[in-house]
Amino acid sequence: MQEGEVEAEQKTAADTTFEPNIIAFCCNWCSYAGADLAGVSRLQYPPNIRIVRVMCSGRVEPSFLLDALESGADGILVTGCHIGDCHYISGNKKAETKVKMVQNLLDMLGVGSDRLRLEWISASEASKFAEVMNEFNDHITQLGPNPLKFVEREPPDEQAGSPEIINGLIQDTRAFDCVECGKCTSVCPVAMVDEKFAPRLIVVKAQEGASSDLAKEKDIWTCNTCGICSAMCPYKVDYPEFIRGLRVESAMLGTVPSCSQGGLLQSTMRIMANSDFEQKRLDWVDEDSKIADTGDVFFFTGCLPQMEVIFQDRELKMTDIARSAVKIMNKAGVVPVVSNKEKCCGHDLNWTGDEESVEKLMDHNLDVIRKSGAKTVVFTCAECFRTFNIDYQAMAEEDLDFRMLHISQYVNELIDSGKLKFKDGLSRKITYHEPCRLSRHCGVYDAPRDTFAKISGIDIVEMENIRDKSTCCGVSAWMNCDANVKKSQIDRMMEAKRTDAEVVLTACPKCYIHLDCSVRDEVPVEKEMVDIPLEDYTIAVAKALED
Amino acid sequence: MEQPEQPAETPGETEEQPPETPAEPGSEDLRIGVFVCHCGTNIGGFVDVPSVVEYTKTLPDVVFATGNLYSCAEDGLASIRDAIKEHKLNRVIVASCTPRTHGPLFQGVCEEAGLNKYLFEFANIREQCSWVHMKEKEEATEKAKDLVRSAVAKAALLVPQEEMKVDVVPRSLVIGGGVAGLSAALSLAGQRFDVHLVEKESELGGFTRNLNSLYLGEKSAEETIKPLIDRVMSHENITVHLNSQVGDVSGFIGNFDTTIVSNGSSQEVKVGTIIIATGALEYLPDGLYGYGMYDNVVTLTEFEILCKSHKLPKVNKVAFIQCVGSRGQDKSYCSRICCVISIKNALYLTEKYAELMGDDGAERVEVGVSVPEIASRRRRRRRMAVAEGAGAPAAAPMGGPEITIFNRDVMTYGANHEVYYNEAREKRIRFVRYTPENRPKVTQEGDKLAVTYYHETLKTERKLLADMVVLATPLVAPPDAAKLSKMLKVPIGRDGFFLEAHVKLRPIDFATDGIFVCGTARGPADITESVAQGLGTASRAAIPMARGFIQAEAILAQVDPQICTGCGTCVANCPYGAIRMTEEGVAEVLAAACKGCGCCGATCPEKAITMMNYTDDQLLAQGRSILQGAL
Repeated sequence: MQEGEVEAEQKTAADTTFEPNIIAFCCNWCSYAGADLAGVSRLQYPPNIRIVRVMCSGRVEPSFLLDALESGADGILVTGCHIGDCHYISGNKKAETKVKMVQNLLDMLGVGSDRLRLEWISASEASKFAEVMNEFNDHITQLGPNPLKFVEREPPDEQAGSPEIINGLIQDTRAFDCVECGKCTSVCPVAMVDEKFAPRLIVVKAQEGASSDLAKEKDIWTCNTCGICSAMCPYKVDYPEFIRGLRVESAMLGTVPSCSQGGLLQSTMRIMANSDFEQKRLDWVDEDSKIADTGDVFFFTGCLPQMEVIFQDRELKMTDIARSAVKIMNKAGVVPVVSNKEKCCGHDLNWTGDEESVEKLMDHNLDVIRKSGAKTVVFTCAECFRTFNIDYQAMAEEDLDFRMLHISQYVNELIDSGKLKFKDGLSRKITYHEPCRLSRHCGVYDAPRDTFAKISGIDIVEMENIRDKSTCCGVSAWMNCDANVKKSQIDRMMEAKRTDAEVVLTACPKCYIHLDCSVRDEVPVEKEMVDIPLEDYTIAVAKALED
Repeated sequence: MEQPEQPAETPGETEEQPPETPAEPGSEDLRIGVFVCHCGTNIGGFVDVPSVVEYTKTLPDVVFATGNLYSCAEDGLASIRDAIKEHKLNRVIVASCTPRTHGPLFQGVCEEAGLNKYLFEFANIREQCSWVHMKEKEEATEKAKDLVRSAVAKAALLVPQEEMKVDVVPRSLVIGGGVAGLSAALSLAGQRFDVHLVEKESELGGFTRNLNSLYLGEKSAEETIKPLIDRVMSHENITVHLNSQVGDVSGFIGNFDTTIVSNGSSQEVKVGTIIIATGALEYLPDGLYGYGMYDNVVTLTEFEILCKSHKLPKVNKVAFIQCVGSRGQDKSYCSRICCVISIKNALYLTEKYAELMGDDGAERVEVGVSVPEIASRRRRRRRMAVAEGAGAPAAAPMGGPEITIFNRDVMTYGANHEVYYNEAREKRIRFVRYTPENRPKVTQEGDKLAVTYYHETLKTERKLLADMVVLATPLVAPPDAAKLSKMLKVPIGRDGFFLEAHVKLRPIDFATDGIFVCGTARGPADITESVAQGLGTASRAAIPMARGFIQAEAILAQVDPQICTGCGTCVANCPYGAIRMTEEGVAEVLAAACKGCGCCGATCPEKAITMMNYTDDQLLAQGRSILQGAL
């Protein structure tokens, strides 16, 4: 498009010619009417502001705001009725909560919250509307262009999903060996709650070349890639990788999966992949936490700080996990490297078909780790652990020259070398929920269990379905959460409750978030049947430490 | 983002069927028509309309684009109508003024031409473009193109919607049997609607029953309220529920299912509209100015009760203190009616003093002798009144009471209320101003109450020995208002009173249709106002009940029960209580109650909710299109 080229030229030209692109979400009843009145009053403001009308500012989703940034907006305004005047009673308060959350997120990402602004403009405040537009335009002009280095969304790749590519994938993942026994379907936790879903069918369809229309294949996104099927498969078809490969092709055909929170988390990750900002992700480090810039051990915190912001309304203290990890290491005399430069590992993008961004994130993270001089990288997140161990290892052109340990493995090492001491007189009965990425994907089944065998006073009672058969938290890569997912989550929580343990531990923050969500509000069973608190492994260990 | 629903894959069946008009989004048969308005020179003078039209023709799926001099004139409308038919348009965009004024007009034209009105989209290139960028014609033209392009992007994803017609039950529930509720009930019953009046006390009349005299008019409170109660009790269209409360309410305008609980038994009543007239309580100023410590420190209402029941002790010097517990002392707001009520009571005491005190009215002391300024002002006003032929002011009755009203500023709002203030002055009632920094203090001194105050004009501390201190406290919302607010899903404001939809434009409505508020439930009001509001709510409630149905807009939330996990986030986020859980444990939208704000859709973690006409896909497409070229 011609004008696109013209604008691109303007941006690269001297700063003086920079005219920002500003998008304003205006509520129909107050601020859109205020904009109309500004017109009727002939109040002038810069023409580079474009309005999108919504009925209520409360309609504006956080994901819309990040999407606008990704689409090249230099500044974003959300405007609504004054507090107390909302046409929809309180929609503007909801907008306020959402916008503040996104502002916090933008600050953390280093984009800066000042590119996003919330204003209350009534239907009669034409002059305020024009003033805000003028002032915000000046403000954004001073800030300069949107610093995200985004590339234009690519048009669908017609070559994607071709029979050759699918055949290659079938070979790579041993799907070729499938004998259609159906064990995968019989153990699949999704199939258990959704009778229309069958892993076997997807493999068979691919083998038969029947899934040529991948863009429309919903089932490949419904699978939660937990890997129980692979564990049960007599021929060891790498089912998760098979699905991941199909997703990459489908995404290249232009399929957009249905993501929780409207894809907000994926946007956050893409922004990290496509920018080089000074982040502010270390706010969680308190004065008791001793960390370093260089050293032998690198603690990879992952998305814990972002998740704490995104799920602020649920008051999940995600960064407690990070503080606990540092506390454990400090107790053992280890001062870990914790870097403000670290970025998301890219797990969720990897599983929604965006390999390009994962590669960018990997290059960056490996660079940060190498510069720290670390020989060991410790993860509290099973997804980060899997992404480094399997995906980075596969994508990097050289061998990764550091050890990668899940926190449970590292804790066991520290205990065995006598560096960690635990409280006397502990008495806790726990049960353990297996994260799929840690156990079936990476083969770490015992490390978390071993830890509690080493701590006297903490007894582990197992659920009915464990290890290869353990059902999962229901959601991976923030996709396709639905009624069926909830059913399986509730089943899992009921299972945990039946053990009579006082707490169910997980070793992955995502399991924690998803299972917490499933029992947080309405549950389809008696509340007592799922009434068991959730806790992260790392926090449980830190709590047991000798003072 | 939703993936487009695919029809069941039964080859041969789907392909043969001719595409239904209008085309579904994503199909090959989109035929978008765009009409770019000059609006005389309003747009045409600043935006190069022909160039916008030419640009529009290059956009995907646009099969027809033209300029109009005035799109909203009859010939302009006719040209749209004709083009829809001639070019078989199935999406229409007018780029002109604002949807807020002209949306319905153009939607109407689409309907006349047989096109569903939800397939119409607006591009606002006048109010939000030509009029605000008058000095930047080139940029304005570019912006107009962007706005049209983004409208096309959204229009391509529009789908037809059906509006729903819902019957309205011609019966109303009035909650509260005070003067406001009685007025509302009588008015509605007089219009032949069934009314159920719920009163939690054992008799009707509400707060007014406490009152003694009323200002404006000769009648006492009892003489005013009694006929209203009698008419309500005997009216054939009104069912009165005494000792009763509303137990539960569900549903929406036209079809509320309510439960009335009386003495342990409950009764289901289906109503079309609900009027809240639950009134207010008097604030009890415990710990302020000796209230609760000294017997003769009473509130205004207690004073009225004493007068009414002829139990007023022998008093001569009476001090009224205004703004007790209000305007920042505890409650932040001004209760607005207490000034005139204190004046009313001061006048009452003055006028009926002999009667109230028997014959033992004490010797009266001349007021204000020690304050020459006040004395001279009085004299001047008396002279002026005589000069204007208003007659000599009534002389203070010999042996009358000595009354002082301590105030921060007297607010006798309303055309006739200032008369009372003047009359009070004439009757030598003292008005002494205090500031919140220097509030009067009340202590016991012998058998008198000592009111120590700082006189703002004299700049000295002074003391008044009074027989009785009357505290003017604000009306406060009853504690159960919050419960009712939750039950009915209507808001209460910061001060605990029900909050109207708009203080000026919709003062007795709620944003939720079919529920109205009157009287002191929505804030301090006097009886005149409460009656007026009661009648007002009756009128508002009568509109949908007389019409018999309501037409619900199609901008609604829709829940996909397959995706919904039943977490309840949407229920908590809906300002209207328009979402409920089904027995299967998934969310369900009550179409007639949904207003389409989108708060539920914006919060649903699983994206199980689609906001019709403002879907994620549509808004994202619009936003991305508007920013096209920004990368």
